[in-house]
Amino acid sequence: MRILVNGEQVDVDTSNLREILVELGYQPEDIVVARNLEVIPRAQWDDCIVDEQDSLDVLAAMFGG
Amino acid sequence: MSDSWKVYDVELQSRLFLGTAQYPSPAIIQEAIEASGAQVLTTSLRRQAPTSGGGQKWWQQLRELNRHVLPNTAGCRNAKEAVTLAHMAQELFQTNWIKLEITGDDYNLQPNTLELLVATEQLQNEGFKVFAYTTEDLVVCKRLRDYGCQVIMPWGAPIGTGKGLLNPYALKTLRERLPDISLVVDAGIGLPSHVAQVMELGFDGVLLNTSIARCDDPTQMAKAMQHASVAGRLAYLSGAISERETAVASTPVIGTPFWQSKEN
Repeated sequence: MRILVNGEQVDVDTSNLREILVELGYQPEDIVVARNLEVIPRAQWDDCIVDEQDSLDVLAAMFGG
Repeated sequence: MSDSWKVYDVELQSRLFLGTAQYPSPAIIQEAIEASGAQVLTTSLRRQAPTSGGGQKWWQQLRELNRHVLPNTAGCRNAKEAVTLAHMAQELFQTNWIKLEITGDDYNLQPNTLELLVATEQLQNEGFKVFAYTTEDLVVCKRLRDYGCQVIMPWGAPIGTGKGLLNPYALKTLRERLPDISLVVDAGIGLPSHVAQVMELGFDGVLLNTSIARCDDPTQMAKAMQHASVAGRLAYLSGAISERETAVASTPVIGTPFWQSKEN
């Protein structure tokens, strides 16, 4: 299945959000995820199904002014 | 003298908010924060590559610094992006504080106040506590207040320019017209004298980043900024004299020696 992750096309083998993050190599502890510009709370990752062409934004803390 | 103030429900002693970007190293960030006495630190969110791990280190350091965390929405171009990023910041940092920052122009990074108003209304209604980065426009600031925003942060000058207060008249007017709102100048500060000027106007605080992070000695500059904030605040509370056009002798005139001389 092809989805967008941080603006780039990516092929993944699963539709479960938590499994996608693991497959892509993310460390889940300190990231936050939005699907199609809607934040998905960490507690819902196990139940979140990602569809073909969905867009995921995976963000982490960064220095800022 | 106790001169604490409240930011939403949080009581603070320091009048400085500190940005955390552009420092030479994590160690110098820590030193500068301690030297400044700042109790509120801004941070941001950025796209994370799977293997970079950079965000994890910073978030860990930020937690260990044990200050109030104020996430920003820097880089957002419209209300929808900013609202989404605010939701993500709330999830990651577990705070309902958000420094709402929406860019309207690439040249001077001027805040897009039209989008800011839309996002502020929505986020305040959702229970966020918005810190609104805006221009010095009085009408916009009054509308922000009407939406429940209690911390309004007008720019002193464009971000990173170090020009100080380009429009002191407008800032002074904001202070007079919004006496019950916490006003914090954000952006454009370069020197401690700028900080003192802000505080002399009766503003509640100043947010600093580039002026400290990019100078030759950030820790020393952080200390200087802290002193300036205290000096300016004390001056404001002291009720400064009014300017006048003619000189008035400070030394008593009575008993002046050589008074019979008419040469002057």
